Amino acid sequence: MRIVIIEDEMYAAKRLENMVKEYDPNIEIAAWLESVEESVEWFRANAEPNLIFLDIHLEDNLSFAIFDKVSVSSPIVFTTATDELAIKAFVTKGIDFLHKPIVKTELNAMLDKYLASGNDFRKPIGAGFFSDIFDNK
Amino acid sequence: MELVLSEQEKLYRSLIEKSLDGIVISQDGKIVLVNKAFADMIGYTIEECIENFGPDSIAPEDRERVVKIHYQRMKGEVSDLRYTALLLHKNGEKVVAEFNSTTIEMNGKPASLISIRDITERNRMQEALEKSEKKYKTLVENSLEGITIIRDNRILFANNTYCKMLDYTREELYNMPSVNTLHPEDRVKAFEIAKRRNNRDFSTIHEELRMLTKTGGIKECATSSTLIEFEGQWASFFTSHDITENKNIQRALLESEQKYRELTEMLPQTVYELDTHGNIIYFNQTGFKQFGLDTSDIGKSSFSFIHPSQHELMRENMRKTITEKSNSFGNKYTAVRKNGETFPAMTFASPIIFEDRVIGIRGLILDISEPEAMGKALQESEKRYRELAEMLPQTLYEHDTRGILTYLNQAGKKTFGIESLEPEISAHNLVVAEDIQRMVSNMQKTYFENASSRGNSYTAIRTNGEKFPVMIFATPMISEGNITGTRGIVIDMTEYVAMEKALRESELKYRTLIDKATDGILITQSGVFKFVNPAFCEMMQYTENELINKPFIEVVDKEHHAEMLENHKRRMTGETFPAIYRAKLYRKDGSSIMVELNSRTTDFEGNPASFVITRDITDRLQTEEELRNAKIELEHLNQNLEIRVHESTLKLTEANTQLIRLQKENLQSQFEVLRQQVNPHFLFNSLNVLTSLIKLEPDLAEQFTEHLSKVYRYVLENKDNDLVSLQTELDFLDAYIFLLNIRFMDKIVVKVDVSEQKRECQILPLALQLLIENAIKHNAMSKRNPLKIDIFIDNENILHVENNLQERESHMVSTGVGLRNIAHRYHLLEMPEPEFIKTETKFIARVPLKC
Repeated sequence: MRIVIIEDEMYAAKRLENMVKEYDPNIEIAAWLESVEESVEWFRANAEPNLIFLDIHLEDNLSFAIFDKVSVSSPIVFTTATDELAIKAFVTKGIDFLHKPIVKTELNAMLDKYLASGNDFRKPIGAGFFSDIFDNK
Repeated sequence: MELVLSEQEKLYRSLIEKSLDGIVISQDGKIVLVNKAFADMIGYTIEECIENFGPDSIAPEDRERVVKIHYQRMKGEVSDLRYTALLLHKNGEKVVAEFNSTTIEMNGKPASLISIRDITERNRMQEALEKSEKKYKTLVENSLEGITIIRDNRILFANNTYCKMLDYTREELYNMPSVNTLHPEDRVKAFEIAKRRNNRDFSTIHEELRMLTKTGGIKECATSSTLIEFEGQWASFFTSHDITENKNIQRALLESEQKYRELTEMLPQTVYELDTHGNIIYFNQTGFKQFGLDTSDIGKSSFSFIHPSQHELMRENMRKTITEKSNSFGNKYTAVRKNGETFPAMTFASPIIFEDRVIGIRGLILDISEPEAMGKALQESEKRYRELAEMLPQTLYEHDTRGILTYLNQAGKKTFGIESLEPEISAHNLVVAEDIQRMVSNMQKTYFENASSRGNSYTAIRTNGEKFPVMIFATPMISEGNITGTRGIVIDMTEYVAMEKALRESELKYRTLIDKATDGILITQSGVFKFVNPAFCEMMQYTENELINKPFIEVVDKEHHAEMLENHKRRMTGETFPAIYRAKLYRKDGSSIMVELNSRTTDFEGNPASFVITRDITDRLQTEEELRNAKIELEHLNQNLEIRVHESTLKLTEANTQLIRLQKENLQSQFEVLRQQVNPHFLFNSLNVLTSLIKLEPDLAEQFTEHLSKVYRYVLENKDNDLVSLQTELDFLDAYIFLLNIRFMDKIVVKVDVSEQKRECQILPLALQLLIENAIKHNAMSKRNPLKIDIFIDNENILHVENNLQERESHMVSTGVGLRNIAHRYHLLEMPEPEFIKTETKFIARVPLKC
């Protein structure tokens, strides 16, 4: 199993990585990406992971901008401090989310659902998918 | 999303389309199917639902709850769910809906099938039903009539009134045969009713039944029953009305009627009853005998038993009795027996009244033909008279034409000390010698004029020689046209004489009061002064003699003449009206005074006169005038004051408005900062970092916590200040930058370069923090291209906050509110406003200081 962590704060990323390893040390953290630019580059050059943890606010932009440049179908779990956008994404787009600071049991539930269950949660996410939410309507 | 439909799925689909409940299918967070029933429920088209349905379609009060439930479902916590929530119809109304969701499989993937039922109507009906049930129940329980429902000799329901009427509890009634509540003799009636019901007689049956109370007492009831459907079967519905009281009254009435009848039969006088046409409806036994009648004469006109010459009179008397509802006595007629004989009769009649209408005449007929009867009656009346005379407290005497007393009543005997009239006593002995002559001449006068004398006063004398004042009223006694003597009443005037004396004494007192009064008191009669008291004389500067018989009007100012004459006239005719008025009077020397007059009608020497109290109000009027002037002045002052107050209020309001605006700006800025600071985003991100640090770098974690609390404390302590020292603000900034550095590591570099002296200058609190926050929001920050912020003071004493420009791509919400807010707050403090300059490479904020 490969996962990707897209998070611009080092301490946050480190903590998430440790908790994932605690859940299952065999899970590979394929990448830790900090900006939109970095992420776009990576997805163009690498195979899609089984799961993406995505922070909403990145160094250079909001993370949705990634999907304007590259199309991805891995299941996505947002990590965010605030509810608003996340709930909207969840209800209307079916994107799961975790509150920061991340609670272990919640993280484990996500990992159970998306990695351990064996179900296929892929769906194509490309340009414009998030535009209605993140343009703050 | 294309759905590949198998046959079975096609069947499901058509079922869903036709369903009357709303059905929604969602998969992966998207709504994939909506049926018409649901779309209609909330007033949209199916397309609109699929596109737009989201949390906004749920009423605000339920939104959070429903999303939470949905979220939990997505996490897979509960699989089947049922809940109620309010939906928002397109037209804004709320729809109460029952949601029922299950997970199904569609296209090989899990999906949610939610069935939604509109229960608004159901809820409303249920409420209305409960309300009406309650009302109905209350009506039945509180009805004044007993209500029971009976089937097959069982009481299925009895209301409160019924239970109370028979003194049973409900349980007792439900557990006994219903016939037990009936009087044994009336049970037959109940069985009759039951039989009729069994033969499908649905009519309303009225019956008077006697009920038995628990203790065996009898209650007479007027019942009415109908057939109703109760709990799926036929049953009798009874209402029972307690008429025991009524029945008792009826019986008493009947008894008394019987008694009356017995009485009338026993009277020795004729008792009759006629209808309003004068026909005989009843004659008692005596009547039959007296008029020689038999039963066939009942119904004949009563006129046939009265002499024709008196029919007119009789008709008139009857009319009076009937229309005036009055009793008449002593009408004399010539009655005619059946055999034609006549006899004199006297009738007494009274109207028979029923329900306020005269329905006949009832009365007595007395046969007055026998002299014996008359004589007896006379004797009776004489006896009566004597009895009365003996009872009088005054002396009553009779004497013959010689003057010898023939009768003296008890009171007289006592008053004069006379025990017996033997031997002969003359009436003249009742008075003193000096008065005998006058008494005799008065007596003769009454004989001559054949009239009673007006009371004459004498001095009477008792046998023991005591004298006392009396008044005697005498009448001649006449028998068969001849004067046989005098009858008189003697009234002891001793008391009255004493009263007169007392009256005179009080008159004196009264007189003294008038003489000593400070108000002027006068009596006028026929327009002239008849009496004036000393006070009035002084007021007017006349002597008493000068005023007596002087016309009143002479001293009154012409202005008031008309009014006074009018009042006087009206008073003399006895009219009552307010008798207080003002007038100007002229004194002897020609000067004038204003007086208030209070008049009353009185008697003076036997004739009507005016009794007037006058009060000099010249001074009072002056005071009144002064008061009026003072009031006007006060009003002017008041007006001025009001104008001034209004003006100053306006000024105050303006100043207030400014102050409020400044406060609002301040608050807004505080709020902005606070929002940033306590803004969950900032807080949770900080906590996120902290959680990480605790395990990885515990020492740093401790420092992080300390600085975080420092930041929050600063905000709390300084939110009420307009300005703070630069030193204070920079101390706070240190803590804030510490936090930033840990969070963003090498992505941000903040340099502060401010000399010691300048640190005493003053700045808007939290202004710098806002500017830094602004920079972070708008610029990209990475290790390669960190955000560099420089803070320093230029040679014009302006504080600079400059950062390198590396603007983010997306347009996040930031309309420059924060910057505008700072500018405005400076404006309100009447300080020069800050400047914001964007060059190609830098963003510069120039913030003025107060040094």
